[in-house]
Amino acid sequence: MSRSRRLKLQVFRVIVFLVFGAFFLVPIGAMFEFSTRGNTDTAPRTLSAWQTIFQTPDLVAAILASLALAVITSAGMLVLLVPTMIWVRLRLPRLNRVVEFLCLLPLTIPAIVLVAGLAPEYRWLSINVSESILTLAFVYLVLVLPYTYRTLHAGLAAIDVKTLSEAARSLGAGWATVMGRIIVPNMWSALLNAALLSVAVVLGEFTIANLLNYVNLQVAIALLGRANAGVSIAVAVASLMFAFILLVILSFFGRPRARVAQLEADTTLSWGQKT
Amino acid sequence: MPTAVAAAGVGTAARAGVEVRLENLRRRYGGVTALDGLNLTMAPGELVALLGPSGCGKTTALRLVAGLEQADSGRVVVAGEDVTGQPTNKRDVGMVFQAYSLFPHMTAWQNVAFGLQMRKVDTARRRKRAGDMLELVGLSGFANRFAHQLSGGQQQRVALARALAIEPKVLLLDEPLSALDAKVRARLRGSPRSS
Ligand SMILES: Nc1ncnc2c1ncn2[C@@H]1O[C@H](COP(=O)(O)OP(=O)(O)OP(=O)(O)O)[C@@H](O)[C@H]1O
Ligand SMILES: [Mg+2]
Repeated sequence: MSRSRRLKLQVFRVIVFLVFGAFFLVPIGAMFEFSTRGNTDTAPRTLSAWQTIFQTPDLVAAILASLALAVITSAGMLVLLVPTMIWVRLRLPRLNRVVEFLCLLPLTIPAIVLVAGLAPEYRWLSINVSESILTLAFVYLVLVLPYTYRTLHAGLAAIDVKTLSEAARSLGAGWATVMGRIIVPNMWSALLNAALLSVAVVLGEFTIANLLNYVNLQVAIALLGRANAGVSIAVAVASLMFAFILLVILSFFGRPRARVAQLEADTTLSWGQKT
Repeated sequence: MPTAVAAAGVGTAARAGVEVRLENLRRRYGGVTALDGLNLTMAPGELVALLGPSGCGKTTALRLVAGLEQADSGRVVVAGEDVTGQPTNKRDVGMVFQAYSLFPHMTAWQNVAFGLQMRKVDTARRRKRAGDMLELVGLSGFANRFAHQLSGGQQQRVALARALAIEPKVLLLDEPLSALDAKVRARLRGSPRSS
């Protein structure tokens, strides 16, 4: 590549970076600016909207509920999906299509239709089992399937599941050991991506919670927006930043595992020499 | 005409060796008949090589002995015991695969020690045995390497060490040496017996 071309590429990169950076940062910056405004045009900047977040018990409850839902949903999704997908891949390849179809189905069903179908279930659930908002985890589990299925599928496709499990089994490992000790450790980054994706989906979910009359984070933000716009914007900025941090973590762990393995190799090497 | 070699070695020094009998094994994949009534008796301690052109069913035969594949009909008898229906992990059959099969998240010695861990051998003895096996295949200096840090031939040698480490009743090698150079090959040919 010639020098001038490389330079052009560099300039192009910087421009793209700046444009997209502005695209994301300007609205967030404006939101932050808005959330720190005083009551009048001449009033000094104030963080009172941000402080009010913690003094609004309903809001704190909604934030905690959404966080709990995010954790429950990702954990449930992993427990449900990972063994199923490994099992289907190893033992029932004919069911592959069926599982894929079922997992992608929620994408094609509008939330409003989902709710129409779910409303009676939730009425029953709230009368007979629990009124807790955490029961939303059931719907959210369905809701995150399409995203997590894709991620986990890619993770599984990256390793030779068949040969590895056959090798492990010929060495005496049972199926549980094959899954837990051989396959899962080789798809950590896929598991993490899937978990973080479900967290992002759950934290951003509004329609279903709202229609089923539960107050999760997004519903609380919307409600608050009517009464106190500054606080509602402050919460929105905070949740965006939270999602942003999660994505940064994701990209950090999503890097090629070779480098991680190299790090491990270096540490075990020094440890191995002692013995 | 014969292009590929698969070997079924029976018996290691630590054990007396056992008889392996394949009786009338038949296996079809859709319209393809991979095995059509294979009969073969291997005496204790015998080393048998299956020769034949690509696609003639060598791998299939080994997979049936290992229990990785179910026969349509016929029996596999190891040491007088019918193991036809037994799952792979109960068969005590070591296998080196045609494809690379080292566990990518484990180092060479952890790979070799895995089978011993499944057999509940304690850490110190596991370590010692894994070290011995790696030495046998000439890879002592590579114990802490991961598969992606090893050449193809080195990976197959670790896989061989891994299969030998558990002192299996039956050892199956599916063209494990095809990736190795002649010198290493000559050195390794003795190892299934001498370990
Ligand atoms: N899972 C499978 N599905 C369909 N056909 C198969 C499958 N496994 C093997 N076969 C077919 O069975 C026949 C025997 O295959 P096998 O792998 O045993 O051959 P091989 O003798 O080991 O060949 P090579 O020397 O190339 O490894 C081939 O015709 C192959 O196409
Ligand atoms: Mg073969």
